[in-house]
Amino acid sequence: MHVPVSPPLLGFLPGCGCLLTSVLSSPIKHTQLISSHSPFRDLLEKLAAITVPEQTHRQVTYFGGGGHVDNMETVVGDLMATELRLGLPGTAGDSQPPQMRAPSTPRGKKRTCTTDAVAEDAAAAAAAAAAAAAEEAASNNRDVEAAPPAAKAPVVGWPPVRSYRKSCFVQQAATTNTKQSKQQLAANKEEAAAPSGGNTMAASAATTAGAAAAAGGSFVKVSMDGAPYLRKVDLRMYKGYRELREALEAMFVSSNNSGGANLSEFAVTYQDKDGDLMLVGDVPFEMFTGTCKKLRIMKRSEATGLGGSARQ
Amino acid sequence: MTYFPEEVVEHIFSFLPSHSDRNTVSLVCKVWYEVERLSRRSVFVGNCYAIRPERAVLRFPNVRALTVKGKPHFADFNLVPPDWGGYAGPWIEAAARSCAGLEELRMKRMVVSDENLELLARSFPRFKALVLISCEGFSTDGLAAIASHCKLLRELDLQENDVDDRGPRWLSFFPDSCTSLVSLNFACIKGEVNSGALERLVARSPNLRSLRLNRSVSVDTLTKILARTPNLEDLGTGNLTDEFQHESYAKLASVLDKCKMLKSLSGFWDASPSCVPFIYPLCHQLTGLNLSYAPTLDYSDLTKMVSRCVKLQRLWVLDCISDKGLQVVATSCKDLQELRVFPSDFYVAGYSAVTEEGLVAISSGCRKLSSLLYFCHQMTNDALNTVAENCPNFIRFRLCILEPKKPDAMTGQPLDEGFGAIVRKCKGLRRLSMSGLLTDKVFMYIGEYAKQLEMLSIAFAGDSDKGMMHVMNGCKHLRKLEIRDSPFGDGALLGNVAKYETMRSLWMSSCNVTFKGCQVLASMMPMLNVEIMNELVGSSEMEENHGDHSKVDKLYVYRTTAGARDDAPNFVKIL
Repeated sequence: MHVPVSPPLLGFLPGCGCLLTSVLSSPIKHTQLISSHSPFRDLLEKLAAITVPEQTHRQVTYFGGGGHVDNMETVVGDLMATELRLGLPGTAGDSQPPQMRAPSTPRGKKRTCTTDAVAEDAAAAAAAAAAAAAEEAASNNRDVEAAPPAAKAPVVGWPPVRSYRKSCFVQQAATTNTKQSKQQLAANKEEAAAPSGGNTMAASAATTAGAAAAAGGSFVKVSMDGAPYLRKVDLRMYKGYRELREALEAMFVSSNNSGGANLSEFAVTYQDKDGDLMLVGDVPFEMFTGTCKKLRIMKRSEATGLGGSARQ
Repeated sequence: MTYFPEEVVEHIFSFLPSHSDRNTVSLVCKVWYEVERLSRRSVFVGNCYAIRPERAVLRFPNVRALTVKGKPHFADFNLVPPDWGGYAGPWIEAAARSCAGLEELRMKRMVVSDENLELLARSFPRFKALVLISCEGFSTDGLAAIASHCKLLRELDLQENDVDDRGPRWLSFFPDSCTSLVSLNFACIKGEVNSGALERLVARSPNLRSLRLNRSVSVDTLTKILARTPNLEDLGTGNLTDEFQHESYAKLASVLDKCKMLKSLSGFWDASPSCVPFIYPLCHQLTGLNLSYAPTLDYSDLTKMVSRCVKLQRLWVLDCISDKGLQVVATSCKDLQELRVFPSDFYVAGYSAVTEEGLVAISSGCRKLSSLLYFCHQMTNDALNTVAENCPNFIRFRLCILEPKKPDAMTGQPLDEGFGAIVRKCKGLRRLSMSGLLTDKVFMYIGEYAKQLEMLSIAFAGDSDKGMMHVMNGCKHLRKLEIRDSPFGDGALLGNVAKYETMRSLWMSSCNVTFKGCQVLASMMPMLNVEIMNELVGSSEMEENHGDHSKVDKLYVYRTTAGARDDAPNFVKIL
């Protein structure tokens, strides 16, 4: 009897997941895995064992297929959730492992290359093994589930890492997070503001900024030599110098129609906290946004004192 | 030897390299004591409260180099409440009064104020070197004072301090006449520095050999600086982000190429992977490399760099290097002596790419390894055994398994045997830091085999007082013992009280020691300061409620000739 086999779906993070894929996606190995007790049991036990609090591996293995038994869903997670469930296909919502009974029909996983009789025997044996292992694993997981809260409680001064080091990483994490949230903002901005002019962009940027920006907006005035009026930009909208440059170009240069739509004839400078006029681009972007009070786009001819032609 | 003129005795003493040797000869007779104390040039005070500053400077009036350490080691991990103490002021003031010839001051874990730095700058006309490690309480204004008044300054080395940044102007306070700088390290300064001032300072410092910049220094500034310092031996870069043009990096590469003396590299703030190839030409000459502040570099960036560093002796990395990366280190860096692998994720529940396999690989490739700090998320006895076999030369062995009390990852057993193998095979071990699931047995091994051990750090380990007693009775050279969250109580605390006189200090926090036990200790040993810190309630309230049998949160015991200190805050009770 042919039983349709759906290949096991594996969503996983690197680590054991890869191994599972390689084992389980091959038809032959697949069969072997089911038909002999120990590897499968070991595998399940290993999965259960991996469900210790410090792991953030998340493996979802569906042993899918037809039949009404052994659609097994193993969720091996971090200290948040650890459970091993046995359920019918599509009953992923169940939290209780249903009772396994000796299957009389072949398992969904069964291969068509084996005879039915053998298949049934193997299936029965496998089911029993699977049931036993799964229940064992489930109980393990219940124990483990009890354990995480203790492990979760933050321990003062552990791991023993100097506060200096931690503070450096907080700075860097903040940089990454802000970059990520800015990427988000940038994505929103691009969606919202097609090829329209600066005003619309600024407006949509402002709304998304309102939703997602970090503490306070940091709108700074932007002046350009020769332009009749100033603009304002929110520095937190941009994840880097390139984006800022593009925004400035869109704001000023396109309305100027001076041929090239870029700022190559201009130097972008800013006034910092101390009132000094600085060239944009020397310090990391995050540091720049923190100290920039005002932007000024000046003609290159005026900017000779400020250094290198390395920047265009 | 009393018939030798004093100058000869003094000359003989000048060959004694260590403080302890000099301390010993000063005990022989009065004459030697006098000769020794007047000729002592370097004084090391391991615990600033062990002796009154006045006494130290009066005994050694001709001291040139003074080193003082303040807070206990666990202060690094926020276990010592703020305002506990460790003030530099009394030391600088005492030295200012009595040791005008002071040239070098090194301080670790102390509270230094701007006023202290100002006094320091003005009091010692020949002052040459200031080294501050893990200190706090000062700002860039204090640095400005040092810069402007210390005309002969050779070394300003700020390592991992918490400095209040008041702006970039401090660097401009180095006068134009200051041309003597050999070493400048301001990597821990958080804000910007004036790059023009920095470039000019470097330009007029022909003897500069060590320069560690901070995060704000751009690639361009770095390039300009390096063009002036081809003889640099130690460099800490500024930021190496990818915001810069390729041209900037190419310029950097070409000046780096001229730095033939450059042996040690650190910094790599915000380093982008694209900067890494520009460092390659340097790799073959490097003996020291610190990539532990570059979480943006992944396993492949790191291994490409490290595989070229064939002369490397000291490597600090993040665990992103992974076990595979450590295997590359093992095959490439045969001269490696010191390895530190730091966690990139500080949460216990987090994931570390580094396990016992990486450590085993390192041990089999790098046989000269003598100093290790290794954060990982699992370990096995087997691995530790192999490591001990491969590298019997360990002097410092610090292993931190991120999850407290984690057993052998393969067998589920405690890690007693593994650490036992380490202390058995590494006969020169002086410093040990343990983690994972450990019973009293490991302490038995330590007491029996770790005969040279001077410093031991214990966390979440042991079963009973016996554990601590093994250590107290067995480790003859023990100087510092620090314990947290372990079931040692009064029995262990009082089991060998005479031992504390031979040690610098004992720290116990979240153990089973009671108030009563501490009182007993204090009354038995008047030459110890027994400091108790309870944060939950005021200590008097605690006594009322629970009596003497309430447990003590934090205990710090140290030998001292100075008696109880008078600068202790309210939460510290000295018995």
